[in-house]
Amino acid sequence: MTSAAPADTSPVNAAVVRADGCTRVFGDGPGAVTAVSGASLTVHRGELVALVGPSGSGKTTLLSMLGALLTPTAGRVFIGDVETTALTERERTRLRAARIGFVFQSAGLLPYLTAVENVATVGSFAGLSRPVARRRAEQLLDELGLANRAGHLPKALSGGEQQRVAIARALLNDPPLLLADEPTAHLDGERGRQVIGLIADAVRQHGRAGVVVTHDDRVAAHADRVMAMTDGRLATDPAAAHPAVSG
Amino acid sequence: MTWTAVRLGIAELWRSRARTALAAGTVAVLAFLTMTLAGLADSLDRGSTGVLQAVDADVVVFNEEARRQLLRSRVPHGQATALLQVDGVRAVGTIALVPTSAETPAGATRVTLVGYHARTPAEPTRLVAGRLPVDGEPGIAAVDSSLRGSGVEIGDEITIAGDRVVEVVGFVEDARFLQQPTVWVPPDMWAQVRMRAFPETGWAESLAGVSLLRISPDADPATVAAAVNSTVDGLDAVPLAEGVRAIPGVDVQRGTFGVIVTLTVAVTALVVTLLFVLIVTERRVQLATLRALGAPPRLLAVALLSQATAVWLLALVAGTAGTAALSAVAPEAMPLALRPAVVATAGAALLLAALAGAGFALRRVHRLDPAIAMEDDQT
Ligand SMILES: Nc1ncnc2c1ncn2[C@@H]1O[C@H](COP(=O)(O)OP(=O)(O)O)[C@@H](O)[C@H]1O
Ligand SMILES: [Mg+2]
Repeated sequence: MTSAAPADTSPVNAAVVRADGCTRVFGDGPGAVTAVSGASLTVHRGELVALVGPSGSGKTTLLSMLGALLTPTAGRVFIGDVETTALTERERTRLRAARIGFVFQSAGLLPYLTAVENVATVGSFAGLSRPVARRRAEQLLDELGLANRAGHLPKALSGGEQQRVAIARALLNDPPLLLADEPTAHLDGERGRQVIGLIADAVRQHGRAGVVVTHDDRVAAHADRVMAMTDGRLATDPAAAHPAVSG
Repeated sequence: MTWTAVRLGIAELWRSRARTALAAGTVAVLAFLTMTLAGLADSLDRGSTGVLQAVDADVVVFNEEARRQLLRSRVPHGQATALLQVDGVRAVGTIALVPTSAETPAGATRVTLVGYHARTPAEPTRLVAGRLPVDGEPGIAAVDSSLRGSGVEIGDEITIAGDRVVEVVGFVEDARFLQQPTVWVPPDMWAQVRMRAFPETGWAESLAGVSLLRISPDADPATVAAAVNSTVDGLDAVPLAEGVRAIPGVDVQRGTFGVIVTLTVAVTALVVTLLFVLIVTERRVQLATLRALGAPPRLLAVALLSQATAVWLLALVAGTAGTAALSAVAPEAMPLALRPAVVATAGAALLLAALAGAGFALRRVHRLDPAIAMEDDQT
């Protein structure tokens, strides 16, 4: 990537994640399902991409491949200049810890850890010391307006608060790439807007790349680009070739 | 990272205490069973074999016709000279056993009288109170400490074999034979009692029973026993452990309890396996989420193993306390005493069972697909 397109390595325009003709087939024989077919996509620093499309169109599958959670049947994925599809499982695990922040549809917090413990725990996956991770977790919760909820268990938090804790967790290791799968699906309008605003801020203010899967038009409004999936195919988006980085 | 894992595992147990108590309680029942059976096996074993375990010998010598029966053996003490000539033998002693009865403050009880020479390998080593008789001392005995249960104290006089009176000068621990207390006396008293018990045998000038050999530190009991058998006619020498196994009932007892205790430990492993397979299955999405966030499988493994260890520890404490309580209220006919060595051995076996059970569940953790984290059935 770096040798092919020198312009992309500039701090502003650098590609953070790139999918190259990614296909994913589940199962084999007559029952095989092609969830994603030949998807190509590049997301740059400071850019937020919304991935929309009907249920079952392959959005989650594509996001999982971008996030090194799922190996494509064909095609390649790069994060920075690392080809994640060529890594071992162990290397992918380490890469996810250090370079990718995930926000899931349900917050996916550990029910037996407090908000701040949930956030701080992922620090150890990326080699942060406990006190450093703890301090950073407190600071992030503070920035996300949860300073007074830090010591609560997830069950004492509202859905929106849980999702904000999940965002703090995703940001703890300061990853260049943020991936979110329908983060507002379980939230009402106001809280959903707040969560999207926070994700957009996290992407733009810190020069991250973000991909948000959504059904939600409000999310699309925040995005720099909207890409539509139907039947596993990513609609060609003219903007993809010449990304316009907004700030 | 390891500490993070341990803290995760323990935090989960702590924050779901009711569940943890249920799991630990289930394992504690099995730990109680294991501990009770192991304690019982150990107590019965010591009750049967104490007389041979209480002496400081490496090789036991019977006469051939005795077929390794302590009560039937008649090796004369005069053989000592010949035995001392055998390679590797350092010291020779003799114990001679007579089944008889004793009058205690609590009434008549069956005992085994043990005649022995002081300061030989036949002298009991587990003196817990008082002193041992000296050769030639008349009317003196050291007795097995289980006679304390019958009200016997140091300085008491007890009547043996109907009309022989001995003064108790010491207590020897764990020196029973066939579940009966032993009374250790000098050769002269033994000869008197034997004369009354078996008048047809006549007066014995010296002890005739089982020779006990202490061997050189670098010698091997089996080799010395073989050397005895090939140099001295009419004898049957065996290493102490074999002599112990030849005591009636010991082999069957050990075999039976061995199987039962192994079974309870195996059931413990099975129960822990089921518990942890359930936990892993139920926590599938949670564990996959941790994997997705970059936790290596090793971290989840350590978290689960620390949970297994914690459950084991709780169960062990509860189970051992249960067995200790049972041994306090157990009827006299049920010899149950818990030695630290038994707790340690059974505890270690249970820990292995717990880790093996949890380890089995770990294979599921290693096969867990982190992509499951994206599924929407989380809470
Ligand atoms: N693990 C899987 N095994 C088999 N089929 C799957 C799996 N994951 C997704 N699919 C199928 O792939 C298609 C795309 O699914 P998904 O990516 O979840 O779509 P979306 O997120 O857009 O709703 C669906 O037909 C779905 O049933
Ligand atoms: Mg989906």
